[in-house]
Amino acid sequence: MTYRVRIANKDAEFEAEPDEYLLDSAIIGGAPIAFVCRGGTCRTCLVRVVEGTLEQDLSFEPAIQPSELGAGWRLACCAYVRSDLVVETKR
Amino acid sequence: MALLNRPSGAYPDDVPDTLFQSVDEAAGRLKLLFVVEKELLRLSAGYLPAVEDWELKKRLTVHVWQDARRADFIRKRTLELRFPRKDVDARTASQRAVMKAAQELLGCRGDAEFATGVYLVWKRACLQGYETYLSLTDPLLDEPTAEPLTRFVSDLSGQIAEIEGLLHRLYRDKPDMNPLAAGWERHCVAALLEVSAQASEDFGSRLTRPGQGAQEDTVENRKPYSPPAVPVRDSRFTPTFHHNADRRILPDDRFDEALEKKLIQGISHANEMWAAEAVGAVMWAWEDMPWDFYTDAARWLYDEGRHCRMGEQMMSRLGFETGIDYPMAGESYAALFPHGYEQLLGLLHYFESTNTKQASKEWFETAGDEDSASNLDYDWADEALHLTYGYKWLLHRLGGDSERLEALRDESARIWSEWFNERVLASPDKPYEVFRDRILRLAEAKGLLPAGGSMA
Repeated sequence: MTYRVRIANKDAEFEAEPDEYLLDSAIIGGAPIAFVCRGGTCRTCLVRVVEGTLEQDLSFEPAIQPSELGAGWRLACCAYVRSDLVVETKR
Repeated sequence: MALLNRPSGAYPDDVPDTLFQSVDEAAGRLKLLFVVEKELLRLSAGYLPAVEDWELKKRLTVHVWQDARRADFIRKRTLELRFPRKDVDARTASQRAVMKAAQELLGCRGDAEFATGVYLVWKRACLQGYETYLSLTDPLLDEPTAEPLTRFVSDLSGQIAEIEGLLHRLYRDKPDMNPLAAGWERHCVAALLEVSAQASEDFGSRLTRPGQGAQEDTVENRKPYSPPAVPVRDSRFTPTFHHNADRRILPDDRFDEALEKKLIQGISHANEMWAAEAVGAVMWAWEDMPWDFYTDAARWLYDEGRHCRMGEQMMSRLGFETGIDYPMAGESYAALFPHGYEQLLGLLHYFESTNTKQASKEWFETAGDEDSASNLDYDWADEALHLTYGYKWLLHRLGGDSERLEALRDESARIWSEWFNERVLASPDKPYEVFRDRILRLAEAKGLLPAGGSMA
């Protein structure tokens, strides 16, 4: 099963597999999500969920605050797409 | 007794059959070495912006990282040797006296005294401390310490030899510094011996005082050190206060995008010394941070120094001489320094979080410039680490408030932009023009530009 992901502020769409991180799917789909570390530490790939479910993988303590998670922010390099999705990138 | 793999020179010739060093004694010796190593790396980092000699400055960026790796190991090993965890970062009165004496090394007057005090006195004492430890410990029972310490002996000997070589040139270039530095060395040895006797019976005990002929009045009235507001550049360089060009380097009628981008990358990288200096100043100013901060910052400082050497290497391959044919300055540091250390580090964090390396790398690859693409690729990888450090430690300073961190970073960017607009774009001083002319002449002479056109 694949999900459709739209980056609202970049006018881009791509497909995401449920067992892949959002950033990896974006790279494969040629979608513009800026990144540096791909390891959950640099915060370059911050996205905000507008619609849908994006599950942050917290197993290795990525650099994101609980308050940010509550406000819908996720680090795309370590977040699983769990439904069709609309996001906005921070950069 | 097993004597295999012992380094030559690290042990006395007449090794006793039984070595006496209990676990507690071993931990105590290592703890003192940790205290000294930490203070030396912190003060070396802090003095980096004040160093004038370009070679010394570059060597320091490497040494600080080496120092941090040694310190980190002996701190961990101290804990393994049943040293109380709560005490490893605490200091006894005698250890505080050692730290204070080490910090007085920054009362030095210039590079020669700095190098003399740190390397010829204190690092030699450290070296002797490691050698003494190795001579007292059982190489099998304490092998987890002894094996790396043999490398530390080699590491430190190499650092000291490098700086001794540099000192010969510093004294040759400035002969008036020679007697002054000798007087300084005498003072540093005396200060070290006074405090080390209380901390450990063998730390520094093999140091010898320089002869009595040295001037002894040179250490009076030394001011406590604080990092300079503008990082010092080598007096052999052509003076300038900025390295960022106010417009394109190459003139319109000779413009070549590939060369322009390559020059900008090379010059920018070579000037990343400002970032190493910013981190160094912070390491000195923030004296009570968790230990991990100093290991992270030492790596950060080293990486920025390495980027500087990468830029120099690229420019040298093109035929350009550092500081003569292209500008060397530290304006980003200078612009933010008056606003405090958090703000200064905030600018570095801002620059690294507004990353364009990926696009630039791809541009160079498409243009067939593998040299520039590779430089950017490794720089980009380093930045991932640095972003982590910036986020982690600025957040630590700001009480975990990520909104304050974002505001700090944006404010750093605003200050920088305002400084550049006022001091560079709107200023009648145009020191960059000298370099622009040199770069164009050299590029034409070396065939880096297509033939034709005229000098702008």
